[in-house]
Amino acid sequence: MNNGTSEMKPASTSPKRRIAAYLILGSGLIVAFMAVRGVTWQGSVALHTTMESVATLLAAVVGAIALLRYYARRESKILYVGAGFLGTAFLDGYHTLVTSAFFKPMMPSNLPSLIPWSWIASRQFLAIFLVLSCLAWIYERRHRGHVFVTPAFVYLSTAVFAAVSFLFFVIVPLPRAYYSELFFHRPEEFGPAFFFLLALIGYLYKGGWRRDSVDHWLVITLIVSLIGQAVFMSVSGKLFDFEFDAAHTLKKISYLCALTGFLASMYQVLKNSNSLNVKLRQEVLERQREQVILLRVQADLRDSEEKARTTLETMADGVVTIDTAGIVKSFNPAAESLFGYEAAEICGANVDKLMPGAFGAHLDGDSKTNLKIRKELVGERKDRSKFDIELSLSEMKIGAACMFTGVIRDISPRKRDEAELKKYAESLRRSNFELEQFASVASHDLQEPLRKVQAFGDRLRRKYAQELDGQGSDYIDRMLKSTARMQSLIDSLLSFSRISTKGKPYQPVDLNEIARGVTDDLEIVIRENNVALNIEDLPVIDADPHQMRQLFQNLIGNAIKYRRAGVDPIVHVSAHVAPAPCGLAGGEQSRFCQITVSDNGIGFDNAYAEKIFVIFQRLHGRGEYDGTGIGLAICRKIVERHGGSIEATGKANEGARFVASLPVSQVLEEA
Amino acid sequence: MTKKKNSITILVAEDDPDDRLLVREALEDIRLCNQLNFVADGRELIDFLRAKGDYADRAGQPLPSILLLDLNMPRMDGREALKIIKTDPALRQLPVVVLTTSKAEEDIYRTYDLGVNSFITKPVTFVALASMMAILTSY
Repeated sequence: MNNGTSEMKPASTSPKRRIAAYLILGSGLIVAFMAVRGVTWQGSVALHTTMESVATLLAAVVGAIALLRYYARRESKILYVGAGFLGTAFLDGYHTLVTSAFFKPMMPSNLPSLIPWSWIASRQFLAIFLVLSCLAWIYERRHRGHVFVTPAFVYLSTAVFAAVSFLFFVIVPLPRAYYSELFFHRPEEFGPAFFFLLALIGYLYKGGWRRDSVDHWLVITLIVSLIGQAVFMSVSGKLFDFEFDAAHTLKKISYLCALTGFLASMYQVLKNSNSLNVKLRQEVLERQREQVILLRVQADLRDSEEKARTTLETMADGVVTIDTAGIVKSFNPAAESLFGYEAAEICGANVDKLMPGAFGAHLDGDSKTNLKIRKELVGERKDRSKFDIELSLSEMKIGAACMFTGVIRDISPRKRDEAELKKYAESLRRSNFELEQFASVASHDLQEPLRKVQAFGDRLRRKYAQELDGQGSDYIDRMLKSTARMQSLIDSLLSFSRISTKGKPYQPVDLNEIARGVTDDLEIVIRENNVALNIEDLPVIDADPHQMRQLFQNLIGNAIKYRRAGVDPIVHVSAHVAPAPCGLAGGEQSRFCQITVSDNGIGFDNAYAEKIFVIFQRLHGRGEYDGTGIGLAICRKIVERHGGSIEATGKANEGARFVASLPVSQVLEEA
Repeated sequence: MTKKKNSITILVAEDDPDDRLLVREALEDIRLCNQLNFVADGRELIDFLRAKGDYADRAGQPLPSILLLDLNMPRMDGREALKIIKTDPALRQLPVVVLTTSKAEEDIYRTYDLGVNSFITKPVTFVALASMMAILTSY
């Protein structure tokens, strides 16, 4: 069952060199034969017996090794080779015995017949078995898996053949072996030679000699046997002559060659098994290392699994896993307390039970990107009560399966707060609106009668001045002054209410330009009072430009107005952009512009720092400083409308400092 | 001079009697005791100008030289009446002075571009009327 391949590595010698070696060997033997032919040599029976004993031993060794090899690796070819050599050993041994001086008298034939014929028996036997080994190989290659013959049959036939030969020589008187009248004195030698030739052709055809050292050396064995048989022995003139002994020597050489082949093959096998061993050992080590890594990974996995499980169980948020059909697969303790279901009773149910109508018939996982959504939904508890939840749903892929993990948070308290806040803001907005409407309408309607009081008072003074005495005129003057004051109060109120009712949309405003405009307006006052007005570089912010102008006008105007007698006023305006101060709305990204206006004027006691911003609240009598007390109230209202704040700090007789914080950028348009 | 001024006829559209009184007195102050008519609302004003309804007897009479118009009046207010006047080719040439209650109000109406020739903030005083007349007579 073999076509000549083996596990052996290709021989280092190339097939061409082997062919050359075969040719040189063959022709070398023939040339040697030609060169030494006719040499006078006479051996003896004793020498022959010695040589044949050695041959017997060699054949037995070769047969034994070949059979060992056969049992190690079942190749019928080798079985035949082994059996052939073993049988040959018997026949050689027999040949040795019957031709020895000791047995000679017992034989029915004389030596010149007995020696060649018993020689031929051994040679013939070996040649046939080598042919059979080729046939076995050919047969088994054609019929893959079929065994040519069983070993028992081979051994039996060997034994039978050997036994028949023994009896044959003991019983039958042999014909003559030497035909001196012919060119080939021993033509019968061509019988085995023919089978050797067949076996040689078979082995060369088989091709195993290219790689396999057994085949290679068998080819050499066959060449040597063939030449020994056909060239040397066939021309042997008489017993123990040169050709006779040379042929005997070649036979032993041929056995040696076969032995070499088997030994070389064994050496190869051993060598390979050694490197195979090394490789195996390395592989074992590698496996062991992998095993260690695997164990460590498993431990890590267990660890992280444990962690994940603990996290899930102790998490404040509900975590629910569902599959693409919406079937609940897992339900953590937080989810249990949220929904009132036990994990065991909800697992396997549809998620619709928890969030009615939140999902369609089934969830479609996006095959490419992992779905991730966050939305607010209505959840339903086991007792059918509803509550607001926020669901963060993310898709996860476990192998080919697609699952969704939902993190659920109860947002009903937040929703409630939001609704309350919204309601409160709404009522605040309404009341604010009403107040503003009231201020606006009131000041309009209040103006009407006041205007008439002024007008008729004026007429009275104009037309009847002569008819009134000094006191009467004074009364009228006081009345008109009062109405004028009332008029200015109403105007103030009106302008105050207009901050929110008549506010303009925000736009980028360069505060430097605003400050310049205010400086121009106040030019006369600045010059007359020798004011040192120092304005630093100011930023651009989103604001209502008109109101910014009002703000700067009021703050700078106040700083000059409330100057200390006998001290030249110094007014300093600066700004810097900073992150949102505490307590003010706005994300971290919103920046605020802090505008500071400080002076060296009369200042105020810090106890009044809040009071001065209240409408119509004044710290000084009208006799000292003019005004209705609306300026700072307007400033605060403007700043607050812009989403900022204003604060004042002061020290009596040293100065005041106003800091207005305004957002640099406005996002929402005021409604 | 008086003769020339006598030729000026003034129509005042004003519902408030106090204001009517004040206008009359102011006009007297600047010695413009010429023909002075009052209407109380926008509808009356349009009837007067078109000589319709109660004012049908005015047919054939020329338009007043100036209209002093209060914007806040019952029935038809001054803004509506003003629109009618300014879209009527027969009335468009009539000089209109709008009476406002405050300077701020005047500022607002200025932006509307109502085709108004001038504004006077009430109460109508001698000074205000005099300066207004100076402007109008220069037309």
